Formats: sequence, C-alpha cells, structure tokens
Amino acid sequence: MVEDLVNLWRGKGVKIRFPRVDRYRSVAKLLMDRGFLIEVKGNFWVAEFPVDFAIHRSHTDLSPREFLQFYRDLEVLNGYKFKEEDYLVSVRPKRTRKVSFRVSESEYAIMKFAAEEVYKLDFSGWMRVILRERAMRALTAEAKRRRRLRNLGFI
Amino acid sequence: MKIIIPEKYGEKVARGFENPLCKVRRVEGAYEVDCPIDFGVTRLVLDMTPRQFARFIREVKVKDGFKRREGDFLNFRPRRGATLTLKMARSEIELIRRAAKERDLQLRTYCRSVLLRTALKDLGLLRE
Repeated sequence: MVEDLVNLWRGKGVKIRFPRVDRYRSVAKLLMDRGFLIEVKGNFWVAEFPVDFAIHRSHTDLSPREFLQFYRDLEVLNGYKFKEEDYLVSVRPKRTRKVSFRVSESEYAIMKFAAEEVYKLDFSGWMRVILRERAMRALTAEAKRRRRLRNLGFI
Repeated sequence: MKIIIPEKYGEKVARGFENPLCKVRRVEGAYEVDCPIDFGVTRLVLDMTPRQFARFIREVKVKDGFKRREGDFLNFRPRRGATLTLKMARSEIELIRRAAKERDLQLRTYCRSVLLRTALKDLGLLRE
C-alpha cells in the first residue's frame, strides 16, 4: 500500500538534484528521514517529493556559507526553489492543475474567516495546506490499517 | 439560506431546527431559520406522522437554497453561488484524488467537505 502511494505521485512530484559530496550528506540524510524517494545518480543525489517542502540550515550540518553554496548547487525539476532569509530553502512543485468546486456564500465566508483568523494564512494557501494534510493523513492511516489486516491474515 | 416555517407548526417544530449554526427567529406569521451550511432534519425529531411530514415539506419554504426529501429525512442545501478554484501540483492532486476515492466521493465534493469541516471544527462550531 505504501508502495502504491509512492506510485501515485512518482514522476509527478518535484525533483531536486544536488552534488554527491560529503558536506551535503547531512542534507541527504535529512530528506531520507522525511520519507523522500532519494537515489544516487552518478555524482548526484536525486530526491522526489509530492508537495512543497523546506530545508532549514539548523537541520543540516552546513555552515551559513556552505548553505548558500548548497542553494546555488541545488537544481529543481518540475518546480521552483527560493530562499527565505539565509537559513531556509523552500522548494515548490509547479502547480499545473486546477480544481474547481462550488460553495455557498455563507460557506465561503466561514472558510475565509477560519483561514484568516485561526490559521493566519491567505485563503488559497489555507485550502492547499488543509487538503494536502488531510489527504496525506487519510492515506497514511489507510495504509497502516491495510498493513495490520495483512499481518493478521485477513487480506 | 433561510428556511421559513409557517407559524402554525409552532415553536416546538422550529426549535427542532436549532443548533449552534442555525438560528431561529420569529418573523410575521412564520419562524425563520438562518442556516449557513447544508442541514437536515428527520421526521422523528419533528415528531410528525408521515402524512404530516409530507405536508410540512410542501409548506416549508427555502430562500437562497433548496429542499429535498430522502425518505424520513428532509435536507436543505444553500445555493452554491461562489466558485473556488485552486491551482495544485499533479502529485498533490493525485494524493487528494486517492483520498477522495477511499471515501467514495468525487474530488470536488471531497474538497468542499474537508475544507468546511475543518473550518467549522477550528471555529468550535462542530464537534467530532
């Protein structure tokens, strides 16, 4: 099931590539711990992930100068990279698909209020975060449930 | 959406519509229920016979929304006048589409229900 989930987005997520050198080993480990698909291709590490992510310098073993060099060395396929301050690199997949749905004016007002007052986010950012997080949570729970059933011999 | 209940059904019936989201108030010759989201009542809650329930459905009016009977349930749905469009990555869409499929819902229905439930829960208007 987990493999199924990976196959869902494999090749459709954002891909990053950075040189396979010792000083970036901590970055590769960080990405691996977060559940990225990470591969070694020649002299590069190549990682893929389905959603936005950020790398904070404090989570790596890089000095400020090395972190800036990492930002320059980082190549992004099917997405964008940007630096927020000198210690945070964010990567975002290209948003090429649109989802539209209709709501009533009152539902819109409730959702907008929650986004702005509770989460302090802009409305589209809030919708994206909630949908992504709920979907990931539901799919992970389902994967765990199926694994348990399989271990018990029910499926 | 405003649900207008003729006065003859009395306050007891009108109170059957009350919840943290729906407010009931009295207007000339009727009770008016102001409800921001989809809402349903059952015949048992309203304490009516099938015949009374059928007549009640005919007489209740909905402003800016629709009513629909499903057996002993009467559902109200506000008119959906706003379209929300969201741009996402292909990988994100695939994840959301799969989550919707697990719940046997269409993508747009899943998006609407997840966002609305989250907003209501976070505002303390909906219990688990």
